[in-house]
Amino acid sequence: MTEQRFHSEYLPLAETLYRIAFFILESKEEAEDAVQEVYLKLWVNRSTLDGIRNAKAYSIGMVKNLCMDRIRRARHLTFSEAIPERPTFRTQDEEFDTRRRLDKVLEAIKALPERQRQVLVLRTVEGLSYEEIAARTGMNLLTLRVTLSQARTKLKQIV
Amino acid sequence: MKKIEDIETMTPEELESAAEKQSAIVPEGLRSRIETVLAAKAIADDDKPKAPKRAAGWIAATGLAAAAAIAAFAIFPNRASSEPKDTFDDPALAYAQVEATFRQISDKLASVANKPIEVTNNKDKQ
Repeated sequence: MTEQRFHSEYLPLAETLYRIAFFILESKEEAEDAVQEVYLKLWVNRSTLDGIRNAKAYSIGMVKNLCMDRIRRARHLTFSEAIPERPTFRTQDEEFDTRRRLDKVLEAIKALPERQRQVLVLRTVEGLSYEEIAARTGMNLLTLRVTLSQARTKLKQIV
Repeated sequence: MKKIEDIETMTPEELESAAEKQSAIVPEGLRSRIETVLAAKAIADDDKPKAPKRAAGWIAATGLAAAAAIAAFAIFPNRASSEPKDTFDDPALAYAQVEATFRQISDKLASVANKPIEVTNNKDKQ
């Protein structure tokens, strides 16, 4: 699935998914965290989403399962059908590294000036061309390229 | 937190309906924060050092392919004619060929054995 299609089909569901997560978890922070986690999973697996007929039902199913996992973890319950594959040290290390890397990049992006953050998101998440970004933001192409380049350079330095 | 037993049997439509009835206020900037997280993920994955085992896999595959090609040429040097050049369906012809071949070998051996003496003799005679 293209970034543009992901952006137009899945991102508009954010509010619905948040309300459902909040309904289940009854906490604003937990709900937002759960929704972010769902979107990360959807994003990572977006190449498999073309076959999904009902994006909303699919996403709600993911939110539901994720929220139930959180409830189980919070209550230290285990269910035979939900027992994950025994993680190896290597998998745990890899997951930890991946998460740490993501957190680092995320902090770096949050620290960017708003304009740089905006064009970065439009380019990487929405998959817009330079022309489309220029039309959306009102920037000329040269300024846009420079802005994006500055953003990427800053991220490379920090990360 | 709700109980798992209350949630696990609810369909997506029921969950959406129940959540909308509750009408929780969606935090300001939720989508923007989600987009930022996704951008971070995209960049983090792009900049991740390439796993060396992938390159090793390609190298191993190429090596195996090369070894297989070399082995194939060694075992089947001339695929166009896998059979020997000289084959006979008629046993009589085959026997005759063998006889002729042995005669050739014998003549050659004889000529090699006799040649030095002949040369010496010829030279003396001249």
